[in-house]
Amino acid sequence: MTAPLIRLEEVSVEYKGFKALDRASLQVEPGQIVGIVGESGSGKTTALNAMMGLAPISEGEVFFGEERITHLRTSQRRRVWRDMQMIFQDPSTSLSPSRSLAASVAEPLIAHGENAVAARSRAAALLELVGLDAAMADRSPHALSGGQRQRVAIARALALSPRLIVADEPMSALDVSVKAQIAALFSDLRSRLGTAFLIVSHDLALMSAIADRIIVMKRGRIVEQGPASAVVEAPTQAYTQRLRAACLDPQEVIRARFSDTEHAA
Amino acid sequence: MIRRALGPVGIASAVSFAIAVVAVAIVLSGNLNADLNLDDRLTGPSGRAWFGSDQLGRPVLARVIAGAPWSLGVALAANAISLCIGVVLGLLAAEFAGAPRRIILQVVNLTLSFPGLVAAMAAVAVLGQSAMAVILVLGLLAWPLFARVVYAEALSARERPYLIAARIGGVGRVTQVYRHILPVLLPSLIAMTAFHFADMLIAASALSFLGVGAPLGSPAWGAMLAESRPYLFQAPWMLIGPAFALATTVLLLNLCGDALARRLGGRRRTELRR
Amino acid sequence: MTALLALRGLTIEAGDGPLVHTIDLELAAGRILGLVGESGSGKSLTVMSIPGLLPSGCRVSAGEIVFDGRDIVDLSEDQMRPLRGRDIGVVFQDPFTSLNPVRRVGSLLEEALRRHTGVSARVARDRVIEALDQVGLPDPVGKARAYPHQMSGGQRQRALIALALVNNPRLLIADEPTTALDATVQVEILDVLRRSAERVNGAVVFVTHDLGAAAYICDEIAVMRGGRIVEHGLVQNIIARPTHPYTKELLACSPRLPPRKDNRGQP
Repeated sequence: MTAPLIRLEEVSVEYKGFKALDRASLQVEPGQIVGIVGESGSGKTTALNAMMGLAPISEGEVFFGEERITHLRTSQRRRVWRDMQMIFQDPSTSLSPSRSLAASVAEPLIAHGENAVAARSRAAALLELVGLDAAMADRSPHALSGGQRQRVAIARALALSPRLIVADEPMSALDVSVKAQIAALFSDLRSRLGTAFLIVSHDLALMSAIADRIIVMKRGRIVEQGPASAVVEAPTQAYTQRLRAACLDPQEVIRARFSDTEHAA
Repeated sequence: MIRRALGPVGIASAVSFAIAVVAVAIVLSGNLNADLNLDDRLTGPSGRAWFGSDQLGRPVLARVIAGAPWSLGVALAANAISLCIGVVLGLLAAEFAGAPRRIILQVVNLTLSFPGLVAAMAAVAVLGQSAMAVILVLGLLAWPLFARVVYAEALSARERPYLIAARIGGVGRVTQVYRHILPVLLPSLIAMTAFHFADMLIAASALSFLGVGAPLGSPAWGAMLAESRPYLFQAPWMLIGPAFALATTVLLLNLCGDALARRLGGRRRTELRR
Repeated sequence: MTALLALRGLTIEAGDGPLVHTIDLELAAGRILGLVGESGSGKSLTVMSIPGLLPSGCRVSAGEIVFDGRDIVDLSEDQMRPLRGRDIGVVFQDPFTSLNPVRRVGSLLEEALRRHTGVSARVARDRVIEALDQVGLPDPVGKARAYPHQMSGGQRQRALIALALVNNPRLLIADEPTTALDATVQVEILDVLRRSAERVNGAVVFVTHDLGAAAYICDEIAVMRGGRIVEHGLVQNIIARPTHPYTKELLACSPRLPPRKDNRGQP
């Protein structure tokens, strides 16, 4: 059996005595879409940062494939980062305001030695892959909407063809109609490229639509995890049930609200 | 209001035009001659000397023009030195947490508390009355102003997601700095440089006023101000000439710096709107 | 039932053209109206024009805002102020920046109360504690003496609602009051809003991008897009039988969880 793509084993992250992440264990298999769902202070973002080497790990180990990557020097990390990229929450700070879209997308390629011409044409292809028009390649991000900026950020994350992309609330800052499009894009990219996605979100319903597995976190701890259908349709933990109940489906809500009056009438 | 109406391009061209006109007029009228003329001592403004002449009969205007290179040159050089040192140290402090940062910040504090005048006098004692002494002293004492601003802004720029994305993408430290951090710093740096130039000019003039740095008899503006003191009531134009030059230059620098920063830097380069 | 609030032909403009076009809305006392739309739909501008809190650069260029039979569009700031404090309450989106961080929560409420009703300090203090209790804050006496940073996001929002309602205003405007809160807290705050409105028999305009939240507490919904109202009606009709394509699109994008299954795997 092949090793999982990435694995956290009892990982803790501590800031001045406060445990932002408390002995979390989770893993992502190649080609899987895993959702980490939780509210503010749940430690979900800290888990991502721990994986990427952006947060200090006080306990536990992180494995990428067979390799232990818990504590690495920057030069060694750069090698791991070729295979593991990140997308951020806020589309207005994800892209450099003074560079063109193609330049932002091509940046990782050039940093790893690709020549400018090849990098640029790959950048254009990536922009097409994420649903943007390659003719926009030389534009600046100023004219783009939030959803479009996130697509560019995704294109940049794909540049080095990583096997895993972690995303920190990538849809939270987007309009309702755009959220679904970006979620569908993740699914599509997984099918086409086989890239695994680890997506952090506060939106259980959104994750239930695209994730294979869901991990529920609260106050730095993992509360429940399993196949998405199991966690969402038959949650075992009270907190997960509360998260479920907090998702307001308009039609469900109306049915619940107005069934009484129908009976009364 | 004038500022807003003209813009930096407008101001720059207006100023250049004015300077050109005045320069041509000066050359044509023969007012450039700063030689002694003991017959003409302490006379008021006249055809030969538009700004009158001083106690040795030298035309004030000519001397002001002659003194410009010293004053402006010293200020510019000191500005350049403190800019370079300040930016480099500020960036290093932001990039390397731990010991380097602590050390640099301590040096900043130490330098700021250093007594400027004493240092200037010591430099002159060692290097003699020279522009170099003043340049060194001003440059080496003023860099913390740049360093602090650069440190603070670079520190926050480092946390921006596109910087982190660059790091994760494998971009090297140096490239991160000039491609992503410097553009963010640019508006502040440009404005600071213009204002700082003005400050260095005032500082250099203050030193030459006190007789530090400019050799005796030099037409440096501060020195001219000092020379004008005994003749204040007899020949007030001896004060007005250099004072006017100094004040106007400082004012123009501040206005330009302001307008430049707004135009060149601007939000377009430093952040995206939501 | 005459309308407490009526917007007629309301048009709001900024520098380069109208942002909100000829809005017509009516709201009766005791009803909750939801203004639903995405960013840029003009919902916040529409609702902020009522208490005269438009951002600088925006102004009402046409139409009327009739509150309690009186057109309040052209009121000066001095005339608006008593109205804003006493008859119209506003709950903003961000509980973190809407409460003055250097003042105790209780003193903010007391000041709002005393400025508009002139009661004595002791009476004011008692009413404030009662107001904090009514929004469901545990230990209202302690909370009155607390600073905003000592409370959680949900508690701050309850305090904001208490502040908006302390003078029993007839109209409450809530601009995305739950957007910045955690999901589990949102439902509680929606309950607080609804109960509070019922208690004072006030009218509520509830602005949101979340159709689920609107479905939860509103009696009527107006869907906005591009500065116009595209559909308007009773909440149960709009959600169960939407007619406008945009409304249908919004509904389609709303979060939908697969149904709960019991222990034997049956839904």
